[in-house]
Amino acid sequence: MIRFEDVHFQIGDTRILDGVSFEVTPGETLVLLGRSGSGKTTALKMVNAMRAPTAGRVVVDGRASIDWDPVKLRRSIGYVIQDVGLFPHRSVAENVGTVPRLLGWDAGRVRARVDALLEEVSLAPGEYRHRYPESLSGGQRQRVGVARALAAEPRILLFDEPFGALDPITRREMQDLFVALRKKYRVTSLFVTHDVSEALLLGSQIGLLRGGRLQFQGTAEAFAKAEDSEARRFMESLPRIPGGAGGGRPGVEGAN
Amino acid sequence: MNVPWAEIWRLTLEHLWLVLVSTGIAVAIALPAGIWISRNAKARPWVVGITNVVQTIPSLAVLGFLIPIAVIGGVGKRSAIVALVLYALLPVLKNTLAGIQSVDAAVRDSAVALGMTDRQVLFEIELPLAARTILAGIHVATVANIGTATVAAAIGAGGLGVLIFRGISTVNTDLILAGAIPAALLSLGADRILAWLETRFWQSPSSSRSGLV
Repeated sequence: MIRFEDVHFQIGDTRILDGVSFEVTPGETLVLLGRSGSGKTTALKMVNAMRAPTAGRVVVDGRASIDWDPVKLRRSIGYVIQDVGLFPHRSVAENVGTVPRLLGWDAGRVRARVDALLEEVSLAPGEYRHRYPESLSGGQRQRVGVARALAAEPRILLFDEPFGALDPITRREMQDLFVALRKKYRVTSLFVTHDVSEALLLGSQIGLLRGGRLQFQGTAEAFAKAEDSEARRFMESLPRIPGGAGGGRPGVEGAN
Repeated sequence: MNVPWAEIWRLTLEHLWLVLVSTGIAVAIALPAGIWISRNAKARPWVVGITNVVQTIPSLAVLGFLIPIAVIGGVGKRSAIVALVLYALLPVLKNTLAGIQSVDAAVRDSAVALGMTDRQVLFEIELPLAARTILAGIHVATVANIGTATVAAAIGAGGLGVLIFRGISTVNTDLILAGAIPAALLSLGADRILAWLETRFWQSPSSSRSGLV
């Protein structure tokens, strides 16, 4: 469980987060949607104590995130970022097995877990476990990144625009993988994106951030109908296929 | 001419000893210092600046300055080693810093986010990825010190400079060569060994590709 309680974050006079409150209930995926600079990555990094609120608190499993032993907390939280951040000097298997090894699992158990996870993200263990990140495509790297995040059966998963750098077809494959894994594991997830179609596709809840404030929180259906002007602008940014067959919302007046 | 083989051999070993001890001490100082300034932006310009200034002082002058100083100075090997340490600091320090700073921010970020301790991030991620760059700094320092160490004979520290200085004062080219050739061979040997060692460590694919161009 993740709960933001009136969270502020300020650097000098710049307010990055300005009184944000929301809750992610167990098993749910909350997508934090917002433009660049809206504070969504900062919010994400507070959950695993990579950032500390300047006021308010972020509660993770009943305790403020900054009160946890940061190392212990982070080992129980999976983290996937756009640049993946695989360790270039370590093989795919070593990358995926990072957290289990840090937790002191024995080698056989780590190996079995790594192979199972590689299967899970559709990378044949026999072919990929000894490869190095530089020899993988962008999509394959992010599959390894997702497997690494899941390795030690985390209680929470954090995603920071994980599929933003991928081509649209690979991105869609990864989003489908995300949906499949979520069905299977039901891990409480916080997912940051600026892509509204991704938010509608993946979020059981959508939280809309603008200028460090939470403008809206609700289901994807509610978001699509929301009155909020920023929500409207996001909905209007959806592509419309000429001829009117598209998934966008024709007929709304143009944004400036 | 009868070649003083025994003396050349003895002085070569002495020379090598001066270089190994001084470079070793320099690494023992500059490597931790480089790690420290990679984490301390305030200290960084000061430490690099001071090391830079030290590097600009002519070696003969450094040796001269050290003679009257107690404990670290005086005539003989101690002053020579102190001077050689000072010269070796900069390349090791700078390359340690550059190597650590060249580690991709996303890689460091995910190491922290996965729950590595500061020590694990340093020893499992940063140092292995920076090893090749750090070793290149040690490489430069060692080869430069083999040359600089010949000057150390001027203050009675021994080494192959002894033959060179004796050759100069007696206008004996053979004697100068008897010191210069082994010194050059030491440089070449050190160069080869260290270059080979560097290939044993991880290298970023982008820099290996540009190296081929």
